[in-house]
Amino acid sequence: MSNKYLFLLLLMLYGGAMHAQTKQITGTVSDADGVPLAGASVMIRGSNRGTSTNEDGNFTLGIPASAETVLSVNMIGFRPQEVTVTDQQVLTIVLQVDDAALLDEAVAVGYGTVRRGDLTGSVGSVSSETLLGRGTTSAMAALQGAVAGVDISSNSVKPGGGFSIQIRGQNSMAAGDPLYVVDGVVTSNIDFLNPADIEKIDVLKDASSTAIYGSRGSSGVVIVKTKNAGAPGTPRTTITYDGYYGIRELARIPDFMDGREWVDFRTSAFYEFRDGQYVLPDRNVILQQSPLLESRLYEERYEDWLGLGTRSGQQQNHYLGIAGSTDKMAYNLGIGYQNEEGNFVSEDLNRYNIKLSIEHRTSDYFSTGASVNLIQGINNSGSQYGYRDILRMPPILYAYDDAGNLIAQPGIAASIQGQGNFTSSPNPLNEINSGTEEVRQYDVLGSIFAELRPIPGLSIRSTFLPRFNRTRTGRYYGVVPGTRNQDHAFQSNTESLEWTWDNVATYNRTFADAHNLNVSLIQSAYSTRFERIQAAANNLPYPSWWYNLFSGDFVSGSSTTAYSETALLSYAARANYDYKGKYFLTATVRYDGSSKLRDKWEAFPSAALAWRVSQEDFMQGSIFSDLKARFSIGFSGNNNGINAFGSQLTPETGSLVWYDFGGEVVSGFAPGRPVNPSITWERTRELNFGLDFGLFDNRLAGTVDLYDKLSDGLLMSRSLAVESGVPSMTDNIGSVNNRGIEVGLNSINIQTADFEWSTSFIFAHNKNSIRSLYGKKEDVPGESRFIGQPINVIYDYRIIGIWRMDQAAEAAEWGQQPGQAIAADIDGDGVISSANDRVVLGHENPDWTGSVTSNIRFKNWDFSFNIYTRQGSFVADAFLEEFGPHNNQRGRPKIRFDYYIPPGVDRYDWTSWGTYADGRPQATWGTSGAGNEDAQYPHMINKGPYYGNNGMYTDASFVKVRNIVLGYALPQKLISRWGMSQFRVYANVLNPFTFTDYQGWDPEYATTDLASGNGPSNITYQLGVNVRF
Amino acid sequence: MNKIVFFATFAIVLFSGCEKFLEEDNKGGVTNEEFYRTEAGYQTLVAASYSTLRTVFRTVPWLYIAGTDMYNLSRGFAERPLMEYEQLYPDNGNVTTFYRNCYNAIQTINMGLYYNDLVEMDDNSRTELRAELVFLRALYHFFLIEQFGGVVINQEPTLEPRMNLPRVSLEESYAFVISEMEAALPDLGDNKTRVSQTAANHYLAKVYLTRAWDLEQPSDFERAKSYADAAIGGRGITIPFEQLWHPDNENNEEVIFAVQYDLESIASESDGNDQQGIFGPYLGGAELNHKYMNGSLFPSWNLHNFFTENDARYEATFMLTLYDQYFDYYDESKDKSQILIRAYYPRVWGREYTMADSLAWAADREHQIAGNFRHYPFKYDEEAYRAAFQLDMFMPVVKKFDSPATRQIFSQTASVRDIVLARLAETYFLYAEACIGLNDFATAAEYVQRVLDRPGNAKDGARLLPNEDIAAAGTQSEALDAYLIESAKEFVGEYLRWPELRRTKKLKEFCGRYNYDIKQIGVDRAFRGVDGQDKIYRPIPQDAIILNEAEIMQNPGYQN
Repeated sequence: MSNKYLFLLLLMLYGGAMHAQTKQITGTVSDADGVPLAGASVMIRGSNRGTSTNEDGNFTLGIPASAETVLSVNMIGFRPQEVTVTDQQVLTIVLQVDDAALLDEAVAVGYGTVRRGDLTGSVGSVSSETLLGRGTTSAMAALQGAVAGVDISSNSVKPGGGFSIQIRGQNSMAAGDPLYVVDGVVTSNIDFLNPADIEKIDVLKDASSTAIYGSRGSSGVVIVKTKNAGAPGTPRTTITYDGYYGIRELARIPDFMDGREWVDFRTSAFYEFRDGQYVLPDRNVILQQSPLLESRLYEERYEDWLGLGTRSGQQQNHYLGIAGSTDKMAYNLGIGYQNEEGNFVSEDLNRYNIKLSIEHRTSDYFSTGASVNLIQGINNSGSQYGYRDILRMPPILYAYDDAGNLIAQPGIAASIQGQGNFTSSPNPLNEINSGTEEVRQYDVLGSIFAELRPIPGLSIRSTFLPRFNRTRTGRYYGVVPGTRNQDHAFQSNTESLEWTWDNVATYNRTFADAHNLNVSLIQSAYSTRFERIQAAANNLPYPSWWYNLFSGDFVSGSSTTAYSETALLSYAARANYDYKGKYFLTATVRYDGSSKLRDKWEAFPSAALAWRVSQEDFMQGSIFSDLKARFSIGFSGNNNGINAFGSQLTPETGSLVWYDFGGEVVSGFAPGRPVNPSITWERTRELNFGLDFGLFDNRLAGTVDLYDKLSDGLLMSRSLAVESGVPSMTDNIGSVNNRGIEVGLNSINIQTADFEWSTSFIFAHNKNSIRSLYGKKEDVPGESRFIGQPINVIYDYRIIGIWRMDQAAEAAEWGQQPGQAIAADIDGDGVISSANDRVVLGHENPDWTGSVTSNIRFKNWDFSFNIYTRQGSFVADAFLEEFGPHNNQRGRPKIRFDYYIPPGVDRYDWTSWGTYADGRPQATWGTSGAGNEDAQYPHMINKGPYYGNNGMYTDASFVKVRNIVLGYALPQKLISRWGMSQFRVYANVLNPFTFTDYQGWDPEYATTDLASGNGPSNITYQLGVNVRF
Repeated sequence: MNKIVFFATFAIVLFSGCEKFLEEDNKGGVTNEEFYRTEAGYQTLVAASYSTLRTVFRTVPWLYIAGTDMYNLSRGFAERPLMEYEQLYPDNGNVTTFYRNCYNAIQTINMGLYYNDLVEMDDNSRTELRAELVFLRALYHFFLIEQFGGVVINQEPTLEPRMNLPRVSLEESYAFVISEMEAALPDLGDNKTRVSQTAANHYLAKVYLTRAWDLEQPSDFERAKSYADAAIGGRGITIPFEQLWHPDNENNEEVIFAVQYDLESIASESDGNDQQGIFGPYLGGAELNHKYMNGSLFPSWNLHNFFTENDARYEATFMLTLYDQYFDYYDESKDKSQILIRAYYPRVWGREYTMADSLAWAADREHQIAGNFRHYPFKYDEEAYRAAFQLDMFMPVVKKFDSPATRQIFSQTASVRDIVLARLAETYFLYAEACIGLNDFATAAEYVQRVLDRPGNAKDGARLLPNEDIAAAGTQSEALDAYLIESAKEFVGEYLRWPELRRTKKLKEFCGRYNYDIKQIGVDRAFRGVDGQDKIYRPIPQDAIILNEAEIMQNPGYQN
């Protein structure tokens, strides 16, 4: 108590003194080149009085005449400087560009921040500049390759498409998305944010960092700070505008077969193995005796279906922000608009956001503030069937007839003037024109807080953070000849309200000038509530989209409602202690209770140590400007593997089961799956050893982290014996280990007044391996899960060749035929068996990822590029599944691939043509000659029993140049006349180059299925501007 | 420091309320205990148990029809492994699906039996429902025995992980099924849309008959006869064949057990079954408004040849004239002598159909012949019959299961016709088969003849006779050959053939004699497994072997 009064007394005395007598001083603030800096803050140290520089870099300030006054001068991007005012009346202050700001940067660690220099855990940070510099419409895309150990891949080429993310490998059998915390609000993703509104993203990676989020942090935590009010203090007003416009063009179209090659492929797919040889049973079926198709093949005039369904896309993003503060009040207003038109016709995205944020420092004892972020996103994705089907149309069918009308079914007998249907698929352009899917999403993120500071060093802060989301999905598909006889409309509405209430008490104190202590006590409650209603109708009297569903025939099977709720209650404590900035200790414990689990409560402790070696006396004068060793151990948890009510034994009330007894209709609910009565938390133990270093005055700085995570009691779906009648159930079984290394290097290669060049490298390697399954150290081949192997492995026969005709006898001994794939007899017992001869062929997670970013500034020009790579990812590829050897649909387009062709079978001879009676060219038959028996891929429809899914496996490693930016900043002298502090224009190219052996659209989303956005890759060309007043 | 005290107090208050905060309120759901103990809730569990029959039979039940004398590979070579045996392995998807579906059904039924003791309802209903469920569970075990031999018996609900479920011997498997069915029998009612006493008698006859062949126990043939007799219950075969299968005549007098469907009892328009679309070629897309043929199996040339000229069932089984739109056939308002004809599948017996025949037929129908008219006369040469099989519409499709009520819905699973699993004619055939087993060919012939004597079966109004006289057979094998050809004609498209051929040990022989595709491979080669033994049973699915901790023996002819 006495401290408090003493403090008050001192303050009054001090304040009194301030008013006693003042004198005026003036000064100029400029950078090292002498360019005046506008908007720099000049404060009297120890008070909240100050001013900021005008557009010429000048300031005037009244200071106490009597005492010695120290001014602190701050400007973003420059090292803070303190100036002691002596006798002089006019000050000239030169600020140095801040390279070492790295160490003073405030890093979010959950419920608070620490200086990077004091950090004991492993946290990666990405600044607003980096995010903006990428020029993406999505925050996740901008984050890609920016933090070591954070592996982000895009899932879709659609506007607003999603991403998958893994931080330090997959540590749960259930998908382990990290926890997203946007301004303290837990959200399920950050896709709804405008990247221009983000001030900073911090990614908590090790357990000592994530432990403060306890049960929710085992897959890492992504903390997003949007541009909020900031602390009151320096009087200032800043207006910023960031905007760009870009054009998206299709790029890197795979190498598809042309018409004749494709007809050859189709012919091959009709070959049948009979009586020891391949035959083509029926020539007529290949082209359905259509002279029209033959003419097209003769002239080699094919349809460019892809071209018909796609266009140049475009994107733009505009964000206008106004931030201001006075000595007691700060505010931030923002308004943003994003628009993206995809490359497929009728795919687009519009997103609007408004942000208001305010903070008031009522007195030295009390502050309060609030913020609201309103977002509306409207995403049209077109008809997913349309895009799927347009990619499935063979090139020899035409979309339009001679009169320019769309052909309803381009492949039916009438359309090709043939004897039978080639395909009866409808014209995909009709499907595309028939309707769309529109998702309208409203997000409201709010927060309101009050903070009390009763005594120096102690703050008690209570924050209430609601989040509301409403998502409406509407679908309408009209009648399409050949596929849909009645139109169909659907609407789904989900509404979710989540709130978090955090109460945090923090005490900060320095003892004896050497011992710094910071203690936080946290209590947090989190609650979610979710509702959904959806309905569908057919046969609407007129196209009313999804707005008049009940004018049509109600479809009960597509109509549902749902409800769920969850709650989480937590108590946590954290203590940070350091001795003279040399030795650091952090201890954290969190105690969590979850409504979803039977065994609800669990404690998650952690501890971390750091030694700032560079502060030691013996290190002074060494090349190390910074050197810190860190070590942490901790536990975090996860209950993602279980849904709300997942620990209750319930009927499957989500799906109605129907039957009738002679017209007496009954419906009901099948029993749900059994539940482990003691289902509880997954726990992850993590060790982290890290080294932060800076050399040559931080010209070369870097971070290395080694970690070892062991996740135990995994909530996973376990398969039961088939005969139990229950396919699988969720249980706490299994453990997974992730070990890895992460390296981040930042090097300032050249630094002169006119020329700067810096480069940063990021490298991450993670090894994922299963340690036990179902409580035992035994493989479960039925689920492709093996001890010592990663979670996502590809387990199949190893194909070592194709049986040739001259090996028919040998093939028969294995029960096989020529043209079929030969599997390696792994155990050498002379029999191929699924139990003994399948092997792990690879794994989906990359062996390593890396990125290189280089920034060059020459005078007012800047140039940067970013390269990202993902190596060693082996996937079951959705592209090959559709367009490659996996899929034996002989009516769909294929890429050029090396397939088996038997010798001496019928095959069109494209070099010689006959003539029909009416003069049209007639394709003539030849033979396959020697065939192609040493092919890479087996016979299309006789792959043999051991081919499995080998036709879709491929390596998906790649090196991508993410973007190249060239920017020009108008000279300060010029723009300061207009009151601006920055005016920069830039050109940006996104995804200009990809280096890969992958054959499909894009290796990054290789496993996304076609209907979900596995489409052509693109390059975006942007022009943008950044303006700051 | 007061603040800290305050904060601590505050935390304690929160703590005390926390247990309530963490309680789940499942507003949209309910727990098993709350729901299934009430009568209304329990009835939905019973409905779910019956509904499992839809899961098993609503889409092509490959295991009942593929790889027999009656059907050939389709244009798309669908499910070649089951059609031809040669490439059939334990990882076969349809075998796995069937196996899983049966055990998933058994689990649902076991839950029904578990709550039967706990539900609050009157004891008569409780007993009757119990008997229905006990029978259904036994029936699923029998389905599995037919396909796989000795099975894993599962007679308790799975409420916790179960990993060790041993496969028992064939003898034990049969003993379980028979004792359960016999125990259920007296408590069953007579509602034919549920499990009735008649259904139980019918299936008991079939179980005994199957065991008699499998375990070579002649006394079982006698038991089969007496149960068949009870199921027949003195009823004769009285409904003309076309009428028996008419869409408006579901659950008729001859139906014993059927998977029930109704326009009102499906979740969405495509939640029906696909029986109407399985047998025959694709009839074009939605633009033509014919029925959606998934074209999985094509009726074999030999099946057509089994039918004799005098047999009215041929026209009642196959759709030989395709009018403007397929279902116009059932539309009384359409004048069949005026509306367009899209396809015609004529057949004359004993010779090829000629141009002269065509001209004669077309003579007074010129106004009906559509622009895209298809004309595919029956070919008396099997190669010629097979030659055009890549074309749409090239052969007549089976019409017995047509569902005109849903004609406007172009979906493979649009049919809302019941799937008949057992009917009186089959009971007669079971009786006859038991007689053959006892070498009483005369009685066997008599029972088959009673089915052939169905009103209207003979076009000439006289008597329809079997292709071969069963009574005159010299050996049991000859009698079976004659008998099986008669059953093929009577039961086209019904889900009986494979188990019938397997239990009579005629599977390989009939495939070798009548199945075009298997003849191409050579029947010995087609059936021979890697271990040198024939693939007579289905393979135990790979998943079942891998996931079961008990040692599961694979069936002969297959390798794990």
